[in-house]
Amino acid sequence: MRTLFLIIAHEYRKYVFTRGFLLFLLILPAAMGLGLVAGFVNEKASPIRPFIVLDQDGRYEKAIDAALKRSRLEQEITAWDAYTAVHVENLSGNLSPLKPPFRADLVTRERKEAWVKTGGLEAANAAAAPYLRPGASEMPPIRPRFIRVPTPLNDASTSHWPVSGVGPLLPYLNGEKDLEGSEAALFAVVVIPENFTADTPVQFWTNNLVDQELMRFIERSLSQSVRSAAYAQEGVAMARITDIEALSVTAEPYKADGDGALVGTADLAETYIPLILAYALLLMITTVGGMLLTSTIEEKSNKIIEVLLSSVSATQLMVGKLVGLAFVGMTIPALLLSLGFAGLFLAGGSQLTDALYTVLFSSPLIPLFFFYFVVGYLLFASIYLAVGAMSNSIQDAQSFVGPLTILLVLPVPFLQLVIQDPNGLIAKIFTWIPLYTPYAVMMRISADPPLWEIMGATLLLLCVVAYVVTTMGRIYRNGVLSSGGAPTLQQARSLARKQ
Amino acid sequence: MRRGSNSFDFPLIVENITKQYGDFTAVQNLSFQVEKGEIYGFLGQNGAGKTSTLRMIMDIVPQTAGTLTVLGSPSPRKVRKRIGYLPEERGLYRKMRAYEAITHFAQLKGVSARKAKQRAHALLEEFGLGAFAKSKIEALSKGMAQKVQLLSTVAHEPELLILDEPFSGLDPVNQQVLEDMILELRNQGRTIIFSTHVMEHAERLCDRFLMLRKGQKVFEGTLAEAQSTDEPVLILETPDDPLPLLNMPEITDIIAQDKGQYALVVAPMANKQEILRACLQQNIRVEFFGEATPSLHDIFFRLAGADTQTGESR
Repeated sequence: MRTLFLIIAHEYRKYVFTRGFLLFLLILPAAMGLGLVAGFVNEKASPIRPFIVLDQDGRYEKAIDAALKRSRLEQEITAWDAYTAVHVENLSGNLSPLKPPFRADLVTRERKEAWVKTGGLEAANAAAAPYLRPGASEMPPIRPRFIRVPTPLNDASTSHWPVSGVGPLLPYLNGEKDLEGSEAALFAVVVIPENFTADTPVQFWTNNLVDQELMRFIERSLSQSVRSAAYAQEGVAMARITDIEALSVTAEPYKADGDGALVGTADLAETYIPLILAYALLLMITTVGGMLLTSTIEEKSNKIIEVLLSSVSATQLMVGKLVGLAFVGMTIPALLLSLGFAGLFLAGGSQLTDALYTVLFSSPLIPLFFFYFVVGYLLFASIYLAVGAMSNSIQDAQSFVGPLTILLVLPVPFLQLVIQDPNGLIAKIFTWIPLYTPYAVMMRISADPPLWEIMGATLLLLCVVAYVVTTMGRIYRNGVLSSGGAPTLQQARSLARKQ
Repeated sequence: MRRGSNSFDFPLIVENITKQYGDFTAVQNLSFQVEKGEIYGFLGQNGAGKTSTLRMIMDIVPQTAGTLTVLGSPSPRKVRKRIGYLPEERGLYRKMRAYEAITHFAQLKGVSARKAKQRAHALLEEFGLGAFAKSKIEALSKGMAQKVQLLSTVAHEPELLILDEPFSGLDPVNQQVLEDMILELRNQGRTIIFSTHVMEHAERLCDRFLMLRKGQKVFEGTLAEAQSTDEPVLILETPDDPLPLLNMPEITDIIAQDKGQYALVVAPMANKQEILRACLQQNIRVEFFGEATPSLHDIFFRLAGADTQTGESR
């Protein structure tokens, strides 16, 4: 037992107490931090797109301005809801202390009107001020994405369609001239022809064909405007048209198996966190399996194996390596979860942190994650261990490792189907294939799959794992002193038959 | 087997062991025993079955037939911690420091962490590697790494040491250092078994030998016993032609050697004085006349190195 412990400790230390591993541990939070920073930078530094509208028809410039105003208002309210989820402290019972229209909710026409009526962002900041978390500052005004700028040309050349209108503006689009008073270069020129109808295309002049957001916005705005004009032509009063166009229906999601409350952050966390964990599971199992393969081949190619076998049995060595590397694999999520737990504990109180805390630490999700890690790892790693025992170099091992990796990632194209229909046929099929059971169960867990199905598939997985570990153990024991080239299936079969 | 042999006097008793790999018989019906405190040589060509036998003794591979008694136990696995084994194919973790490597292997043999570390440092000091204790194995020269490897084999103070080709890969200076180490370990009362192809090492170090050929024992005993099995040879140095001596019934062959030197292969009970007298009678001038002592190298070639014309290419 002491010898086994020594091997486990050796394998663990070999990987964990290294500069590379510590660096890896630092990289993970750094990458997460970078992700947050990137989001922040994206928000703060997303490019502003100034554009010019050459409205040769004369009816649509104002319509675009109105659409810009509406869009900005929606953007502001959505950003406000995201801001309050993080910075505003909830009352007991996870209730928001804010009153409508400042309380996070769907962005409806009524809410938008109420928002403007009660004073907009300034009033919202004032209402939230008493409930802000310590250190939180008020939400700054949002940056507009699109700004319509007047044409810098004062002559009449812009009024002639088409080339005479755009031609003088091309130096601005091509960066040869700067727009006065604008930090950003001119992004696009929209030419709306005379007698514009829904059948006439609008010209959208730009050098950036990748970012089509503004073009789509113009299309939506003008479509709405053309529809309004059509209504008016049919004799509907303009005031009615505005009212009718402002009508919108909102569907509010309710979880059928929930407590009857509107779907909130907790429900979303409950749905998405298992998906993230399933991905992490796949990543961990393949990474640690790879470490085990390298370690086994290192012991063979550096000729340490026979020295080791004079002190321990092949079975002890195999078990020690499997357990040691399993601990290495669990160290990363255990550390991250501990940090997460501490973070959520310290920053608790908001809707988001409470939801994360509930999903992660008050449900069987984490124990399940570790259980399926161990079982999935044993299945995958024991095969790697046997392949390593038959190989003298990584190149030798490729003939087995390549197909195995392909087999493992084979269901990736079907993952979307499992996510969309967690209790559908595809999801059920993957659940019953032992190689994929851990990932399929983790992905389905939030959809409450039938318990008998999960129990049955897990039992099958355990039986397969027991068989594979025993067989691979036999290959390891019989093959670890072998020499020669790349392993073959025939060699594996013959080694597995030996006692 | 010797009458009354026991595990105290004989740390290793091998009885009729056979090892087969599929259809190939690596070791066949091999029996021998090693006395306590002796250096026992395992000699044989490549593929003679030396490594297979040593692996069976260590229970790294199981024997197909026969029994082994190692340090009194019929199960070598149970006494593993009292044995030090240096395999022919050997290596260390390249990223480990020298003292860590020795400590790790001593711990695997049951020594406590504290004691293993102390011994590692003491051994490295004793064998001139104190300054390299904290160097990583990958930074050491091959000779130094070999020394560290040997120290990790003895750090748990084993009663029985099994060294498979311990001299391979070492330069002459380090070979001498290793020879001294082996003798020192024997003087400390340890029993040592080692295999080699280098007859000079075996001749200098071994108390007894086992010669293997194609998995079978061809000789076991001391150097003197080995020499006594050889046909007696007399050396005659003369400027004259010694061929007339072939008329004597005691002389079976005359082989010309360097510069007027001839090897006279004689019958076991031949009278040397008679042969010398015959030389003088036949006017063969004698510049030197004496008995040739066969070297272990000669004996090895005769007993274990059969088919030398075709050698190992077969």
